[in-house]
Amino acid sequence: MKKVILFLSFFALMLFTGYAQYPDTKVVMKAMQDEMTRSMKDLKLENLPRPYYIEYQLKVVGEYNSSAFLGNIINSNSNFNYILNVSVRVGDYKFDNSNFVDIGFSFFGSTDDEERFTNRSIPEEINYDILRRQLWLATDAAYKQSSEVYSKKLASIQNITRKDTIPDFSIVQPRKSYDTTTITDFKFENYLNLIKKLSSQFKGISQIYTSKVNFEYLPTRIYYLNSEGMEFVKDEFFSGIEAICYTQTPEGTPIAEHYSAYSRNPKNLPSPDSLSKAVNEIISKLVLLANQPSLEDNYNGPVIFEGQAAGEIISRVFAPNLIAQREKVSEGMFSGFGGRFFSFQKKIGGRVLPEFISVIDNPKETYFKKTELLGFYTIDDQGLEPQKVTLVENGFLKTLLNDRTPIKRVTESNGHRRGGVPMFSNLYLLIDPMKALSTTDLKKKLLELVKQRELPYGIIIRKVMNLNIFSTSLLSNTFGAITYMMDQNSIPLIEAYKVYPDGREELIKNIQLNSLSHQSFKDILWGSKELFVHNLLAQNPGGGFGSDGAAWIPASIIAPSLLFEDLEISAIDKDTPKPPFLSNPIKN
Amino acid sequence: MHRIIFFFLFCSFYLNAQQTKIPAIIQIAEQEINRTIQGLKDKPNPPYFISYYITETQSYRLAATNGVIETKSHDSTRLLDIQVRIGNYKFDNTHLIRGNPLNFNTNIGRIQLPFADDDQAIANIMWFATDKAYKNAIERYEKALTNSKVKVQEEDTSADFSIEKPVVSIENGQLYRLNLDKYQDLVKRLSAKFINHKWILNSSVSFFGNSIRKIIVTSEGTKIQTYENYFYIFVNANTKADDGMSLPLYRSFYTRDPNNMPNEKEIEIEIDKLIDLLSKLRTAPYADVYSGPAMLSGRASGVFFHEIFGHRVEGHREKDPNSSQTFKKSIGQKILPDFINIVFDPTLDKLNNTPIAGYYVYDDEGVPAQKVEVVKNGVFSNFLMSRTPIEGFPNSNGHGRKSSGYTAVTRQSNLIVQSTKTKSIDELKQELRQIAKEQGKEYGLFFDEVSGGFTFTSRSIPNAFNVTPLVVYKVFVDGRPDELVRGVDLIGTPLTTFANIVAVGNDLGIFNGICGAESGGVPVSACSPSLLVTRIEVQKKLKSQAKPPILPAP
Repeated sequence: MKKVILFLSFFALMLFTGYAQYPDTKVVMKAMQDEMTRSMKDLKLENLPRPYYIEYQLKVVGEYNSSAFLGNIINSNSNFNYILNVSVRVGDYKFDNSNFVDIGFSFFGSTDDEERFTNRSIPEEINYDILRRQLWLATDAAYKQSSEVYSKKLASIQNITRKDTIPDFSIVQPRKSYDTTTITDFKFENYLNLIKKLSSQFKGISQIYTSKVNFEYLPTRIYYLNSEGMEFVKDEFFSGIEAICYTQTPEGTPIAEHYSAYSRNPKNLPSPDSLSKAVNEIISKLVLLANQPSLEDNYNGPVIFEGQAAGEIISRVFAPNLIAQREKVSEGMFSGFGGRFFSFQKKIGGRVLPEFISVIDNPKETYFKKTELLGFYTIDDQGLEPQKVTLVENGFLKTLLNDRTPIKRVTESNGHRRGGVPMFSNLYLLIDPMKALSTTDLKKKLLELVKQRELPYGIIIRKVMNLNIFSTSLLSNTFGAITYMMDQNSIPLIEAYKVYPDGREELIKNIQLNSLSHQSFKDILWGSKELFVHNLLAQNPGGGFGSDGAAWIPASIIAPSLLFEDLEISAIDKDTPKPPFLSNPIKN
Repeated sequence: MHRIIFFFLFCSFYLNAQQTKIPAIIQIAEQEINRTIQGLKDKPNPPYFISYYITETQSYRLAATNGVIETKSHDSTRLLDIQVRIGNYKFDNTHLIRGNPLNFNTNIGRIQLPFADDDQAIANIMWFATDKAYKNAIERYEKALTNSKVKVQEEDTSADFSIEKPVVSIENGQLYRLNLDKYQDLVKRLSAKFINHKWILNSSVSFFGNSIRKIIVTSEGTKIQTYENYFYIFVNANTKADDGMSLPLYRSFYTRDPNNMPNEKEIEIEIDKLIDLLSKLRTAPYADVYSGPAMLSGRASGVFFHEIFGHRVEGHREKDPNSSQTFKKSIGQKILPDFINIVFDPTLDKLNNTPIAGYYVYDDEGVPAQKVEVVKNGVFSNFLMSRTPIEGFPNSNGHGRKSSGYTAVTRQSNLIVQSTKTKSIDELKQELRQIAKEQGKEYGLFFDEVSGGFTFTSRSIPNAFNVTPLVVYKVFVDGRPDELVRGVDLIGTPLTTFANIVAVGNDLGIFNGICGAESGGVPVSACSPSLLVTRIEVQKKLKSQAKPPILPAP
């Protein structure tokens, strides 16, 4: 689940004692406006440029989360944090203090006891005076650091001939927008009872070493003002339930299952009955998996990714490349701190997928069939209206998702800044109807290829290990044992099946997908008619040290099942951790 | 006959009463520990010791600044720390591995337990985590064994774990469940006193504390349940001098009973004094380099002794060849003037009618708290000991402490400095002037306030070994009024400073705080009279290069 770093970050049962109401918009805006006006006018250090742009963001971050185990609540928090982010730019739109990697500041922060101006915790009770005071101290510190960084950046380019002279910040038309929808009927108690009940389904099953059911609800209100006159107040919601369970075979092979469901409004999570059914399914799958065979030899051949599996590999391997990443100037020619997904930055106009596939990002959709989409929003983090963007048209890359930081080929924002970085929202992978088959026919196609290549079987994958769940709940609940499944170039698979020529399927355990790259997606031969939605917490594509923004950002991938011509699947071939020495004290 | 029957009846009733009083969680813990010891006893490396340390904590934090609430939170946790030992008391998996920079201990901590005493759920969690702790221990044990064979013979050949009597003691009690609303007005009111002083950049008044039900169950048969409470009202404020120097000040007020808070009027007076002092500090001159006599207030002395002396008598440090081991060979030697005694007494819950924070009944390894005379008549006599023996000290003296998630090491309790001869404060001051004159100085120094790793100064990194002077005065030989100075930093080995104590006051300064060191935050106190030393060395403090804010406060 999302890891929100709290002021007091130990797991706790927190009775809600915070302020439920949000500070008055008028009061917040006035305080912001007054301090901003004063700062733009008077904030100046001798011999240094004054700010040309100031931005204030006040986030009221609500957090309700809880975990349950075997019918008991293990921890729960309900808490509101008040966070200020101030950004000050010196220079001008063409060249300012941004897009520069300052090693010292990035790693260590200032060595002086400066006031914080990013993720600055401020008092809960916000009135005009309190907020202005906080803004005053934060703006002062932000300006001082920006001035210093600007000077360093100027110095750094003295000794290089710059190839690109794209502006540091794009110019936009300011607007005022408001999108607030407080959810007033949320009752935390109900969800505590729900996860208690779901977790009790794991009772009395001694084969399961550990399990957990987690619930999270994060309502956030953001107040924003910048010196160009861009102003907005928006509410964003995220909610989720996840269940994990873990065991080992007698030889020690770790086996894990997970289930997750996310929505914006917690009311739109699946019904208690559906959730109960889903939990039962992962319980029986886990127990079954432990007794299934693995693969003796590496498999090289056609593979179908069905449902969640397709969504997960798209989110992990393909989607992050669709985001504009600005190359930064850095001190002393240090580079390589950016994310791993630079491949498409210079590929606009080139082919990245088969010609029968297109990719669109559409933040304006709220639902896919009965599932609420996570990537819906009306105002991006910089106040812009989100655009529906055709990223790939008939296999060819048209553009990338961007915010106000221009890159060579995408000079304007398309309103895609979320969680502090440019990010995909509701990503649709659409297949030309000529290449879309029913699920049955897709499987037939697989077997045709299997026969053609004289393979003993083909592979269908129905669930891929979700990166967020792996890195958060599974990692901590298994005391790190799950790292067994981790590998540089491989993705662990949870539900994979051998499909024999006669159509019979056999579930296999301890399997990974090797060396899947964005180029592999060019080898998609067919897709399914039916689309499936995968809601997830996607990893911030920026990544790397000193990157901005949240670590995990809610998003949705809507995609068909996909038949890849040739991929490598193998057993995870490593030393296995020993199973527990003693038997589980849980009686069946 | 009757008598005997009565005696037997009484005995069995007492034992039964004990039996029925054992809380469910302790029974579950005991059962799982025993099952583990039994189940693994035939393995090549069976565990010889297992302990489960469970804390149920109600944790409160309420902070206000300038009349409004900053944070308000109440957490409940039930956490388990597990320790598994393999080998034997003489040599086990905790044995120091020399020459290896990364030596993770093998314990597992802060495992969440259900609040309900669900025996299946709790047993499962204990089983899964103990298995992990046991496997960690095996790995480390092998490494320690090999390491001991390839390195030179160790100097300190004491055992890895001391042998102590198991303890069964179940205290009946309850955790404090507070309604923070009750304290809200108090902290808001007090914090509002800073509003009109815009030049005070940051200030806050907070109420925070913990009510803890502490449970220790070990394979040796120890079963302990105690209740420990500590609550503070903490005031802090800071400003900056025009040259950028940060000037922080703080005050703390301690109680064990949140229904019996420190007097509000008293806190108000302290806040007024603090504001006044801060405003004077802001414009006070920058201190000069100085070497000469100094007087330390009781509170300053207490902090000094805690940081400079206290951490050096924590026994476990003596075992690590990388640590300075200042006092290793000093047992029996005179390190202070012969009129000075220093004791650490966790059995005292108050001194001079003031509650002291370092009080407890059993330490965090299940050993009964003991008074330890560390310095007697100036002679260094004892180390504080946990269950990690050092040469010459095979047993614990009840000073093995930790907070949840950590492994216990020797920590301080109530540090009490005593003197067999004392003088009045005025006499001390006069003597200060006298000594300064004799040394040809214009003034002596008076350290009224200092900060250390347990004194809560905001933004200070908990550092056990540094003392930062906060309020220092020049005391002039010619008798003119004292002058406040800022930016004083201590140099040299402060230990030698204490060898130069020539006089002690008849007052008693008490400082209650939370000491942060390698086994987490533990409540402590440092109690000392004022002191006069013949020689202290100071230099100018490295100040922040950050200018004060450019624009005036809005």
